[in-house]
Amino acid sequence: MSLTRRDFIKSNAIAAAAATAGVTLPASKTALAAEDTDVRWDKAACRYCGTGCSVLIGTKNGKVVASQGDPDAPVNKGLNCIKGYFLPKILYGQDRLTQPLLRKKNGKYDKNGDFEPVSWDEAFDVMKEKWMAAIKKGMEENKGKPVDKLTSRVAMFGSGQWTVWEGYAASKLYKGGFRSNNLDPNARHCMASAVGAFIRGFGIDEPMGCYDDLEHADVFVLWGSNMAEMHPILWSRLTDTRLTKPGCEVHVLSTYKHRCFELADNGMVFVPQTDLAILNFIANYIIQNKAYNKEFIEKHVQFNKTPTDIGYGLRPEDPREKKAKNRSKGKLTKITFEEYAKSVEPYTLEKASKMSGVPKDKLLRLAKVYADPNKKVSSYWTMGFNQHTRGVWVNGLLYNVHLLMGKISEPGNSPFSLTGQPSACGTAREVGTFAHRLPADLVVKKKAHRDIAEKIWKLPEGTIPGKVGYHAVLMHRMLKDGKLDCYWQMCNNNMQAAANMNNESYPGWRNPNAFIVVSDPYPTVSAQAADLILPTAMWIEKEGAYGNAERRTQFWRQQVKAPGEAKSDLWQIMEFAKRFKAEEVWPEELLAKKPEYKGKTLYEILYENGQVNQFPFEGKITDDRGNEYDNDESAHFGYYVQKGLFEEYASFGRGHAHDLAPFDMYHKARGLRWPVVDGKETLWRFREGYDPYVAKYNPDGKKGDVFFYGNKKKNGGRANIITAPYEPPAESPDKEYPLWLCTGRVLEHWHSGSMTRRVPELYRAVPDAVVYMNKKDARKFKLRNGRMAKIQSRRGEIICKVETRGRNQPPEGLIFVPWFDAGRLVNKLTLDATDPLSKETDYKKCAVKISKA
Amino acid sequence: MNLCSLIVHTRPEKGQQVEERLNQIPGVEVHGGVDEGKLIVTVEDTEDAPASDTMMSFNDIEGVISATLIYHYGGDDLNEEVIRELN
Amino acid sequence: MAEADRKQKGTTRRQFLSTTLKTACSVSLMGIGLGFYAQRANALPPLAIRPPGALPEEDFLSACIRCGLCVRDCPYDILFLGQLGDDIPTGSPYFIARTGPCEMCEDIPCVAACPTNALDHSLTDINDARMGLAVVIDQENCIAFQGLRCEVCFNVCPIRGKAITLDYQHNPRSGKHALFIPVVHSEACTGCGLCEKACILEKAAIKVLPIDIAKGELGHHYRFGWKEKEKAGKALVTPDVKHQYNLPEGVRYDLQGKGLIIEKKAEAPHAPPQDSPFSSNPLDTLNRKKGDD
Repeated sequence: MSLTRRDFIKSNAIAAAAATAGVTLPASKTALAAEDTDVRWDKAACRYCGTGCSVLIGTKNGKVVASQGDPDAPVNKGLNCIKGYFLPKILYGQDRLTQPLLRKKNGKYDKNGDFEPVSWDEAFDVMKEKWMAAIKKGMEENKGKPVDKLTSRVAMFGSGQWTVWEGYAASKLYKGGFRSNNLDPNARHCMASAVGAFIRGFGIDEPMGCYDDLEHADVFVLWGSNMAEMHPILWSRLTDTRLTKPGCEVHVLSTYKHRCFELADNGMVFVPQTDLAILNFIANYIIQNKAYNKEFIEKHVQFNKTPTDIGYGLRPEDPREKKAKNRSKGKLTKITFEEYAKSVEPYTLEKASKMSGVPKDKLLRLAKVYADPNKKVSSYWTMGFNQHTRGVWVNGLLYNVHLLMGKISEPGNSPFSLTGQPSACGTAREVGTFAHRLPADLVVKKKAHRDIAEKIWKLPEGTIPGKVGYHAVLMHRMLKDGKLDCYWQMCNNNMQAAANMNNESYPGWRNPNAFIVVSDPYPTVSAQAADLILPTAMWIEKEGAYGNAERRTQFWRQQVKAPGEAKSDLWQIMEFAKRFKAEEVWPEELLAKKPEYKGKTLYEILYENGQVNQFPFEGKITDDRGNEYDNDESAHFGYYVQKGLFEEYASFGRGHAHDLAPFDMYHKARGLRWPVVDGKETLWRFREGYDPYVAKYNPDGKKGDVFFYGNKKKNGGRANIITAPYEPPAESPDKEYPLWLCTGRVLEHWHSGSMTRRVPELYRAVPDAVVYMNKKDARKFKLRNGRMAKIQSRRGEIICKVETRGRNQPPEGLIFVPWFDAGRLVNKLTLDATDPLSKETDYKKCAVKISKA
Repeated sequence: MNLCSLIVHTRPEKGQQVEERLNQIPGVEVHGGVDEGKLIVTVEDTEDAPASDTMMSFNDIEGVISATLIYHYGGDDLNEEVIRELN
Repeated sequence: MAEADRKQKGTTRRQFLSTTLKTACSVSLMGIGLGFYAQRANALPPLAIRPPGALPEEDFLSACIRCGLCVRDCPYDILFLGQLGDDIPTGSPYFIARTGPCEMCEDIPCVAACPTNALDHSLTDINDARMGLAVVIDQENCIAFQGLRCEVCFNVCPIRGKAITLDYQHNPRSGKHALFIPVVHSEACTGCGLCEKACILEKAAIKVLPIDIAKGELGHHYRFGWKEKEKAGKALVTPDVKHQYNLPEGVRYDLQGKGLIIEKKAEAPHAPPQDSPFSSNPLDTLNRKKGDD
């Protein structure tokens, strides 16, 4: 903001007059008076991270005028972090998108044209034309292929920030309507490795424990998680336990010092990738000292090995991929305990300390707390584990340690994967908006699973393709290679988020053959690179549901209307489905199985199916205090859309250990942790007494015993210990590029900053991304704190300010740059290497050099 | 270019009515004091009328008891020169 | 900003201020005002902070020749010169932390530019500067005191972990969260004002004030005993004797620390989860033995 001479003189003039008249100017007075009269309060889940705090939203005259932490919410008890404090402001950024924008030249769509406002009709017309061309081409290519070989040329990139029903509606449209498994969420960048390890280890996704572990553990261990900044309210609970519980210890492992080290009793900075070695050392220590829980292992654990030398998820022609013996392989082979013990034997204290650079006494102290049967240990991890070319392995190695000791599935003993997004669990994972998944842990590869989905969705047998679709990273490669024609991104900012922007993301999106649609409330980096932008109603401008990291599902009602012509993602998906008739997108032989669908639109088939549209909408939503709320989608479609979608979706999981409560209950409760059986939440899974499914699946089990029922068919209900060795990262520093680059977040900004950077106070607090680096490195490369530096990798370069005394203190040889800043796109530098099993990108390790800018 | 501030005295119960009338006049802004009956008003030159004429016209408005000039700036064109960047 | 621009900015502003003043003087009210300014010319308003290395205010004002070189050489353009009509003595340099804090350049160009030592040239390490002192001035509105996770002031502080620290406290209201209370330490705070600028409240709850306003002063006679002991590295008088107590078995007394300590039994009993649905401890059921021998 600038102060002009006019403003200045005017304010002097006003002040002088006011002083003379003895009048107090009313600015502050009116603000105070306006606050609490006729404000309607209602609850909502916070828009940001996976913690799942609840907030109360104060609305007046159709605008959010106030907010507060929800004092009755069990997660946050009225508290918020600084982002949550400013939540309502994310709705009111000055540059909200309010109408569809299409690239045009001479009145027609042109990939190289400028954005011009268009009507929703025109936007959907152009989209339909592009989609139809791609689908037709795809149907040609698929002629004569069996259902498990089908491919598609249309894709959608969804979100762990979608509401539950948005993800579900999208999954139906793509997998059931367009017959495309090219649906992946941005949770691929975030949670895919955790999911992979849950499925391999336990046969069912999501943590066994819950946030109450934070009060019950004696020892906390953080693996690659800067919880102090990224899960601020959970960190507050952890800190409180550390302060108030005698003997409580906090261990923190990371590749650089961050805020968590301030509380740490045992802080360890390790060489990137050597977490694999440290975890194997701990397992070895437990075995060597015979500290393991023999009875638990005998009853509840199976030992396995996994193929090694599996590559780095790069393009197949990359020399690193050609060299890999078992590229992308992950099939488990059963081994004995002795074989397992032998596999970790090389990982001695000396070796682990030498590889990781962590002093022996620190490693030993860590190993001892895991090995002590009287200490309850909760381990937490986030992107340090998941964004890892061996992400599934490293998740699994931690489970190995907990399983060896039997420290699992009870209060305080928890290996707990924290999620980054508000509904990575609720929408991306539970609804199954991944390229390989269907709702409730079903997968597209298995015919029996597809059958279940097709039956619930009332689709002809063989509608859902059996071939896994393109995952997030592969979508960009396929766009670039011309194998994918249409790409619709919703509720995230993948141009800024995806790795190797210069060589994959951008050329893919701008490929002349590709048509890119971005639905967003704000003009993000993605929107700038798109061909069509659809303005989106966000957060409380629609009725929503999120599922947080502890399996807690939370609902909110629509509080305000979206600005201009902005529409929710749900409206966009369902309305677009109206544009396609079954015979346009399905081959004749498929339609012949359900001839009654001939002439019907995908909208009618998927959403007016007698289930989704079964709940009437009375024109208003009323809460139990008599307050009234809009529901724009229900008003538009003529039935209670969200309820219909939710109830149909919930039918996938009810009775199968994914039970969700009835729809209306969530509008009353401050969230419920699934499985919700007979109205009762489940806090700890897999243990009799806590989890009703244990007795159901293992009726002969003892009281309080454990049963990993996700594996009941595979191995009789045992958890899998999976041995895996240390393998080097895809790219390490060398002479030319001597530094590690690690990317991540800061407390004040969320993800790509498209919301938080529009909150003036947050922007002022942390305006730009800086490069956090060690003072010695700065000196070595002739850099000065506060001055600009150029960072280069083999893929690109960026310029940003040097920070040697900041909150993150990297060791020599590593720099950290946050990725929230649209003005400094750190993903120009990163490498698109992924975990070959989970397909999740490793954003934490690549090689760079730095010099004066 | 002229910029002035004035106190316009009104009967307190007429304050709102006067405020509305004043705000309709081009170049005039009311900044407060409505409840006290002492309106804080700024007047600027407009294309049609210099500030002085505008001020004179206040006396014709019903409910106005008096208008007192407090502050007058008359100088170079004030147009949008930035004197300080505020954050 | 280019040097020419800055100079121009200064002149124009002076010009227009004198113009306004002239007209304002015709109004008697403002006439009184001018006398008022003259009266308190040496009292700096509390939010105007002198550049690093500035001598104590009175010495500074007599040494500063109002040349403006420090303003010219500030690479971040945060310094202003007091103008006629301001509360700040005319021509003397200052900055306002909320809008433009000192970025603490390692080479301190403003001090180097000062021709008279009004900005003390013996200041060579910017961390030794004492421009003012940050004070968490409003503990009722600072959201950290309510348990919200903010800590922006702590995060942006360039004297990391020394000038502002976080005091972890139990949050008795929520029962299960901690409070992260920012505490400023005068022995390290340079008064740069980055915290005040970054404070996310409408009006900053943490403000940089001139040190003489910000700091209390202990009665000159009094010393804090534990600090003196730490300084001396030993007790200042003969150390206490070793105490012995009549105590039952399993109970100790720690004189300097926790007082009475009732020893836990050798085998720590596992506290059963409070909401446990079953009577016996599941951990005991699991029979964790260390190995089989």
